[in-house]
Amino acid sequence: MNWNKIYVILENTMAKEWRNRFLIFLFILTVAVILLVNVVMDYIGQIPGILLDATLANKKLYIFYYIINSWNIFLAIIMGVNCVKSDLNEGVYGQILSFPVKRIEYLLSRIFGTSIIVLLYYLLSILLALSVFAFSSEGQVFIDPGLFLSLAPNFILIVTSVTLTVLISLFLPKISALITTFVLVLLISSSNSSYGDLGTEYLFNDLSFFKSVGLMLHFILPHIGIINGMATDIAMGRDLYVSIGWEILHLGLTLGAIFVLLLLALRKRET
Amino acid sequence: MIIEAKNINKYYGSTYALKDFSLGIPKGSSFALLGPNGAGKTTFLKALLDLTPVDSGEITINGISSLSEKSRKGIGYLPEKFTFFDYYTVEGVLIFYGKMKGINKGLAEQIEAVVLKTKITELQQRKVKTLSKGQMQRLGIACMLMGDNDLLLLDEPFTGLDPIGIKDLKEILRGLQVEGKTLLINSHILSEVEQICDQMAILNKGELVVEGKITELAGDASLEDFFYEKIKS
Repeated sequence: MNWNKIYVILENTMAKEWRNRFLIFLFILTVAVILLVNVVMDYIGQIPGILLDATLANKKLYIFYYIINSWNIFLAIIMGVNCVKSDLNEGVYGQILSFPVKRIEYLLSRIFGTSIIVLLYYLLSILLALSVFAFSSEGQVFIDPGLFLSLAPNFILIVTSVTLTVLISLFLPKISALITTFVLVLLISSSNSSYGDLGTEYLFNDLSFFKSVGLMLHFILPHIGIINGMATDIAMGRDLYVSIGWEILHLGLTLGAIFVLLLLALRKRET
Repeated sequence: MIIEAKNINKYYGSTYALKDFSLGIPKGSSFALLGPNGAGKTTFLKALLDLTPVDSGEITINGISSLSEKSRKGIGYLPEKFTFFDYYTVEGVLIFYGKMKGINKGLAEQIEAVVLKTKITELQQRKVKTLSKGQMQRLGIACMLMGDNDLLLLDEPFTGLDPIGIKDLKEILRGLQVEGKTLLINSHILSEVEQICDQMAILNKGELVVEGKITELAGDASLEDFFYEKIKS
């Protein structure tokens, strides 16, 4: 691995992606959601008889966390669709690969660079929400370390979503790739929630067409829904009920397979 | 030989882009790759850089297979249509190229030298999107010159340049020849190539028609006449 060149391409990716207009739009939306959650929770807190088992600021933060988590993947897909496709469309791809750099190094730099931007956006949103809620609740906010620990599974989730989107974007026009990836991620999440905690003895019972497709998605694609659930559980300080070892193995195999397909698809496009 | 291509076959569907194509380019030479549109010149340059896979055959650069990224060390490449992200400044593009070439110390000095050589000093802070076609080509040439390159691959380098730009480029290329660099120029503009290159290969429909020293091959005829005759026959 040529770490110097990887770093230069990573830097270039971040310079490229932070200009994405959708980031600005989403940031405005994030501020709006923070304000909305703040106002609504303040209102609920004033209703007599309603008791909150945590500080109001923490409740606000948890609600906000649920919202921000869902568009974390959304943002990863939007950024991912342009990640490599814009290089191919603008003719920069060939120029970058004319340097002594491997395709795998180029791809990793692009995927990680894009993922870092999404993660930074996510972190900024959390910090902004934390500050607003703390200030509006007389500083009564307990910062659960889980909130920051959840950055690790969230980053894995972002990397997975970006990689999957890059692969799909090589075969379809931009808008079609966006829609296809959204639908696919939704289907993966649904199948994960249906079959993730189903005992093996029940998994293959009464195999209908939809169940077969769901199982296929559950087994051959990364467990986006389960990783998302893990991130939420860690952030909320809840116990984890998934087998970490099995999930790491499954993620390694499925993400690795997607990456190999991505390399092959890219090579195929060069012919 | 700095470049050796042996029995290259490359086809798009049922059409050959390169057919049993073999070529050797001596170190320090200025080599012209000539041919009509669709002859396979750009395909060969791309195959050299492993930007397009070949169906069979082998290419080596400095003895290293072109499939290895190591073979691309010390190569300066000017693509047929140089582009870069339009929000970058000219200086930003050169910094990117410099860093990709592994220049850490003396990057600013190197940038200063190439912008001076390509006469784009006043464009340094301009965004790529504001550049004209000719200015963009000059930037492409500046990028190609970044780093310590032994081999320079130029795909249609005179495209987009006005007569002054063409003259400037010829001067740069002559300077590179004096430094002992190997030039591989793929061009349509025979009159310009004739003034720069000492060796050539003519391709037609993916096949090598003729290869050798320009003076020996063309004799008293102009390169244009020789080329016309070879392609027509």
